[in-house]
Amino acid sequence: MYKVQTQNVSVWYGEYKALDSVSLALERNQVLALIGPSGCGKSTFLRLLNRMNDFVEGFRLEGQVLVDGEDIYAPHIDPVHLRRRVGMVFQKPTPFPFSIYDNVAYGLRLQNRLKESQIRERVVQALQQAALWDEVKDNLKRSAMALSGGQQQRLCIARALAVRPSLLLMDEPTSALDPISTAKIEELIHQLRSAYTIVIVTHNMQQAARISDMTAFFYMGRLVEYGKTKDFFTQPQHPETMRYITGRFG
Amino acid sequence: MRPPKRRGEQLAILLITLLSWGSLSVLALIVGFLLYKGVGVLSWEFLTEPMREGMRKGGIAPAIVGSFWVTAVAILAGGLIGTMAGAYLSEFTRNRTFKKTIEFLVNTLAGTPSIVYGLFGLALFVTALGLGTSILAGGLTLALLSLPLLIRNAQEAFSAVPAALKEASLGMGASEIYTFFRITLPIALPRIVTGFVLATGRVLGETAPILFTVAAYYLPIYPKSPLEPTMLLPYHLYALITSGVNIEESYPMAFGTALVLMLMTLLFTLIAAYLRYRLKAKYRV
Repeated sequence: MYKVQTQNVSVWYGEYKALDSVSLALERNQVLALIGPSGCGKSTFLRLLNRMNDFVEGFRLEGQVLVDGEDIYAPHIDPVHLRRRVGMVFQKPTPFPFSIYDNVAYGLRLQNRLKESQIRERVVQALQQAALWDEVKDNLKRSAMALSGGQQQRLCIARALAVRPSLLLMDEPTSALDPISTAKIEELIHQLRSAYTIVIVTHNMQQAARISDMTAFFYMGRLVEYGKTKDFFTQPQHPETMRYITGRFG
Repeated sequence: MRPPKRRGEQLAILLITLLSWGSLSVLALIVGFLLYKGVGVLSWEFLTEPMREGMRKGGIAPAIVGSFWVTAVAILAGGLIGTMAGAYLSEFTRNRTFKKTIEFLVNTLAGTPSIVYGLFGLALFVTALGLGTSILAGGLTLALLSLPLLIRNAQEAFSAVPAALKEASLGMGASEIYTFFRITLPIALPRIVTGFVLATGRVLGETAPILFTVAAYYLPIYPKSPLEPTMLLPYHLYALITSGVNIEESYPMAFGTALVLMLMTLLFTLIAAYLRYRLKAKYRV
């Protein structure tokens, strides 16, 4: 069974068609990079997987989106519960104006089945996983707003990991960060692969080549090319992919 | 070499500077005038005693207390409804036509003359709902008057909360309601409180809406229940100037009353500024 699978998925925002019949399948514990020029549909595709597009006015979908073999747009699926299984990290760091501890505990408290001691355990674990623990362990009560941009983004990753999602979505998570912070996050993605399946949108092709197992190239709402990353950048099958990865448009 | 002087630009800056200082000096003039005319009347007795002998003697304490209660009712009711309506417009409706329609109606409400609110309050609260001429009726009438301001302010406060934070919360699997109470409301609160203060200042000074709904011409006692009428500062000020038993004698007291009204507004502004500062420090954004 695939971790993520879409079958002939098309998406409209009102009259505008944002995705055109996209079919793709991703194995468990793989990193999938979505690349393509602005407005190509890669973010729309990412947000399909945790139903964040539901909030967009005029959103309409055709086709099937399966996570763990289950149609996540089926009528009996509660999108709120789905989002607890599918974590998301955004382009800009989005720490809440609380303490570091309360940020990471945010998702855990939603489920209100955990005791405070269990929450504490999971917070520590998530911070360790996100490679932030050593920098913040002395003062978890400090405001998250006081962290640097790179630390804030790792905090957001910790916050997403704390609820133990089975799938992690990342929407250009390093585009607002400096090179050193970016390297740390890339290293982190590398480590997380053993436990998670990750789908990441990136504008940076070197990044896609460095961190992903699979790469999908979107252009004007269509999935132009999809394959193993190592073949993708050395032997692209489509002329459009070739032109994009060699920097001739985009 | 010196940079060339731009005469037009210098002239424009000078003009803007003069105009802004000019508008500030109007405020200074009003405060100065009130202080000059009114400070002689101010005394402990003036602030704490009821009026006596047909407003010729004594203080204005019942009017201060009355104004306080009516304003409290207005801000409590208006603040609650206004904040909820603002939250709905900003966070909980995605129907654009519906939203534009409500916004248009709210703006129209804002342009309604205050005497019309008074008449409406008389018809609805005093007569139809049977509240009589009372603190409750007057307070609710003033709540209606302050609604456009409170709705607009709350809507802007909620909309100013970064969408990325709301999305982050929703993306964690929080419901829209949970996100609203845990993220959006706390972050918007300082701005909402500011709106309450602006409304307090406006409500404290309103005269027309209280005329038929709560204000008593001469009732030198303290209200004991929200269903009683009371004296209020703005209407008392009007009475002192136009219809005292002896206008010569009550005239100076009018300036004292105006000064107290002004100082009360200032006090509320300061309290709210402090609250806002505290909340902002807590939810640093």
